[in-house]
Amino acid sequence: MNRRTLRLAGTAASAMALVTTAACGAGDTSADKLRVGVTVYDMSSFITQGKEGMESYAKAHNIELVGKGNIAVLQGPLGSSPELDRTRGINNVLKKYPGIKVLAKDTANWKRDQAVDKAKNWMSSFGGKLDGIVSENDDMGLGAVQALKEGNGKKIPVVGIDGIEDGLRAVRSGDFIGSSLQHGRVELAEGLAVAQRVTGKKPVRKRYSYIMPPITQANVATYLEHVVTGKDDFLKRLPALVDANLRSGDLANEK
Amino acid sequence: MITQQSPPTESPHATGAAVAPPRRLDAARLREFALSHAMVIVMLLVVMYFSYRSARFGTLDNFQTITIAAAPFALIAVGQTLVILTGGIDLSVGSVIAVSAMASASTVAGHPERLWTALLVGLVTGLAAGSINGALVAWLDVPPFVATLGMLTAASGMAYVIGDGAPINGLPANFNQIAGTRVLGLQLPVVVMIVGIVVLAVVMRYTAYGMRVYAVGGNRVAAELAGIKTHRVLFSVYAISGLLAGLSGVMLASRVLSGPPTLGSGYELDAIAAVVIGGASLMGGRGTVWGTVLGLFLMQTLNNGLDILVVPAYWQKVIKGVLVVAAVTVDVWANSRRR
Repeated sequence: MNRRTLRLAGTAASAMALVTTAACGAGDTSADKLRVGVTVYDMSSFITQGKEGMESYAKAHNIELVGKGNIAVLQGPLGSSPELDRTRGINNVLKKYPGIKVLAKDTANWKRDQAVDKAKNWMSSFGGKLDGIVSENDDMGLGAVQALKEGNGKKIPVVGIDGIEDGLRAVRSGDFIGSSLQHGRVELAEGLAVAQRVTGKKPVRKRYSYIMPPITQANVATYLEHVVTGKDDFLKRLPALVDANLRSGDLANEK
Repeated sequence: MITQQSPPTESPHATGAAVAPPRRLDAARLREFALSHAMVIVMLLVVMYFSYRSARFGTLDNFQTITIAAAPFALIAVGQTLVILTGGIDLSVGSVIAVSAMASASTVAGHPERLWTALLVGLVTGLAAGSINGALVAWLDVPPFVATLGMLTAASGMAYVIGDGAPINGLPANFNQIAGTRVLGLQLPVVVMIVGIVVLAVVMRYTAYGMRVYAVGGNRVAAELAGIKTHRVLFSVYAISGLLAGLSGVMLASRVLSGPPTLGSGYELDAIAAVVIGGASLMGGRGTVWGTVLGLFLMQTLNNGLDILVVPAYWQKVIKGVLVVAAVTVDVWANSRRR
């Protein structure tokens, strides 16, 4: 009896471990195993979004910029798996837009302070030729925003990813044209829910994918409330949301 | 006492020596000048190359870009110079940057209007960390490598404790004023860097305190016999290094308007590298603030110039590694030819 409980606990723990590590690894491109919180979608939601954002920005400012222009890419630590996946995602999207040229790509190791200096060097190098900066996380994107502010040059679109607090605020203020949300609370709660179903031998899907929702000025208020300002209220209705999301398969749904 | 780097020999005019130096440039003096300033010449060659390859390198704007990027490194590098001159090493500066930045950021997060308090908290945190290092090294005789390695780990841990494992986000915009303020058209970190460099360069070169630091690094026993309170000198260099790291941390946090616990990680290596590239000996007693500044700006200029020439990231690392070693090789060779 005692042993059986232990074994069950063991299974639950390992299932948990499997699911939660997978959840932590959100952002991978490979999704052949049971994984929760993994974006399959070639990590491009943010850059397609970025493009849409760019389009709306261009429209608003009466600039003709449809799938054309010069960008620079701030990468994660070179050779690390999220950097490789996100860079691959960006390249996948760029294949569809041959008019967008990557003038430079380099790492700022996820860090704002390194990104400021990198972006300033690029501004020195390219001057007005640079039309946008794509960052593989919000922090580096915010570094690029700071560089643009210091440089007193023209304001160019910057897009981040992850939806950290400052990133969401940057979308709201217009410093970012967009980001994508990686909502850890939702991902991990869903990971736990799947683990519970696995250990309880309840039916589970073969594959769960958390497709990071795009964030723009239009919807940023809601997400800012869920992640920062009204997070306690959001946590209260999270259990029900998790169950609904597992049923529907739309893990990133926050409605 | 070894004072190879003590103030340069007085000019022959002043000593009234027999040989009156000719006013014109002659080959021997030119050679002597070139050999004794090999690093400056290497630096000029690098600058000339970048300027030749890109018209955008040699602009005033880009010069400002280089200096603002160099500022946080310069502060910790000059602090590191003092420590290394005593024959020690300060491995903790990167983490001290992190913990000071976090302390400062968390202060301003709670009290958005208290900018000066936030600045002060950062400085005091840095000074405290440096003082602990100094006390361990000076009075408890803990090897500097070990004492500051401990601080490297502990301070980094404290940075995570302060932020509860996460970066401090949502800081009030006015925190940006510290690094954003412009004095005579220069951003404050640049001004602070210039003041820091000049003050420490003068102190090390012309004051009794500077001589004591060289003396302790040259031969601690001899310095002690000569009446120098070596404990105090040792304590002071670590405290100064910590204080400058704290200042650097506040500047960085203010510039990016955030308190990331990973801020500054790995910066200690850049600081130590700048000191050693600048001609200082890790054994102590030999080196100058000016040399460190040169070493630092060599690295920063390469960072900037290679980005401007859009050299692919992987190759940038290769080129930086090779060029830094080459520059020091030339410097060492030139020094050997002088004697």
